[in-house]
Amino acid sequence: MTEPTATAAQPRPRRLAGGPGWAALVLLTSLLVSSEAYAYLDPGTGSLVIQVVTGSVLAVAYTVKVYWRNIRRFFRRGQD
Amino acid sequence: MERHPASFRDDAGFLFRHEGTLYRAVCGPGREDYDLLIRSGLYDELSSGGLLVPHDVVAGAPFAPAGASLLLAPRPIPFISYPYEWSFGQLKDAALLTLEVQRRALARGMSLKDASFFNVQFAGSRPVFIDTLSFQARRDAPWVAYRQFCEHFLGPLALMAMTLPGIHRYLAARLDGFPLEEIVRLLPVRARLRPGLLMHLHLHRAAQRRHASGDGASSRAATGSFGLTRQLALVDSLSSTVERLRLPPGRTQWGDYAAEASHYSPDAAETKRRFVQEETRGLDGETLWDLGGNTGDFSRIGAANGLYAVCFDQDHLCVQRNYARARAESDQRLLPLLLDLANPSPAAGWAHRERESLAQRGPAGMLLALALVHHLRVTANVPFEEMIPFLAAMGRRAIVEFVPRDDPMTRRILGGRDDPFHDFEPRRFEEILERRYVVKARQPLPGTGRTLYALERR
Repeated sequence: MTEPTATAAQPRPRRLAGGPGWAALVLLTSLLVSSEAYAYLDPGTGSLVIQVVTGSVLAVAYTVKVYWRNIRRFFRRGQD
Repeated sequence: MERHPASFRDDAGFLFRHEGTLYRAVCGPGREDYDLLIRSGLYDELSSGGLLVPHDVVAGAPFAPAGASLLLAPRPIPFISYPYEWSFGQLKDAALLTLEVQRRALARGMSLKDASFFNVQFAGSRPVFIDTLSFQARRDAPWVAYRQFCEHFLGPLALMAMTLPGIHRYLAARLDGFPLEEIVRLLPVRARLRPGLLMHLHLHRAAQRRHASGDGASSRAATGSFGLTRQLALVDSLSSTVERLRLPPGRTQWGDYAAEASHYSPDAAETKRRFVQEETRGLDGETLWDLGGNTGDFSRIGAANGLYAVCFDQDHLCVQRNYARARAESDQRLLPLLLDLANPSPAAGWAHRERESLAQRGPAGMLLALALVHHLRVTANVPFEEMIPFLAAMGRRAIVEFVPRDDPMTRRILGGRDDPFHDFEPRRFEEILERRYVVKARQPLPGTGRTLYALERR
């Protein structure tokens, strides 16, 4: 007869070092690689990853800023 | 052909000198990118706007080095300076210039492949990007020079604004910028309250640490979809983060020196101005080094006579003030720089040859050493027998002001110290001068014990 609690007693598998989100991101982006044949500067993996991570937030903020600027410009032109 | 000792990292080309003229050879993969720079209209846009150094294409030169598919002759920069000699404002403007160049490059289908502070020089008070071969075709990928930008510009500027304003002087020993690790460790906790600094420095550092192993596959990672909007957004975020950094308000050591110069009677001050005006006449096109030049009043007299004036001072806020004024006046003939004369910028980098020492960048056509020798003599303990040969090595001509031992300023510097300076005698001083120089003119300053000398090197 098998001990039903045996599996529960085993230590849980440790989380991946970077967490599943980071791991998936690195894996995904590794698949989309186009290698940097002539790059003489080492960009640093972390420096590339962080741009992808913060990219969406910055892009949204930037888009809002550009639209807002255009709207303001439109109304200012209307005043003239 | 003499290859430039700092030009070996990128195989897209290199700089060399031929009969005194500087040329840039375009090689191998650099040619395609150069052609795109021209074809895209980016070169015209940047160079006509004064952002990128203009060049001429040199066709059919017999001295063209093997392997060069094209030869360029960039417009010369009168004096090469380095980030550890700039003030906060200069480093900030160099950062903003780099980002503006990148923004315009992105809009025309190109991108900077590096963001080194050595890619920026100053033509007077105007920053200009000098590396014509830094551009490559844009791809939908993160910016390869992002880390370099943060370590060369953003991090040092944040440290200057939030810790020590003069901390960038240590860049003389850190020619590839401050590592992110060190920047993050040195920044105060309140730096994290600024989203830009948090993202580009702290989170950047955290990501770097997480991916430090850098195995083959992951070192090429994250070059996937990163489109134009995201690239422009990154540059925009960096720009506003840099833009917001300011130096804390401070009082300069000598900043008010000129205004408070009560030890000069109006007559003496006028005599001094006239002497400098007279002795710099007819030297247009020459370089003037104004040592201990404060906020540049005498540099400007030289500049008005057509000399290119480099005004050195060891007080950071003084240089900052001088730069702000020169920038406001769009002065193309005055370059304010930070320098401790008792420990001038060294030769540095690979094989000691990448960055030149101050002396290697000379000699200047004219040297100003006004109200300086007593500082060097007393504060730095440099005897005149040491000082004068050094000055003579740095300039073919000089205007030197002798400040005697009993001058109020000398007494102030001396403070309570004993006076061991046996050479502090006008006659002794002149004797030492005459070993290296021919004295062309001698002008006592009325009401003071000071004397001006116009000198020409033997």
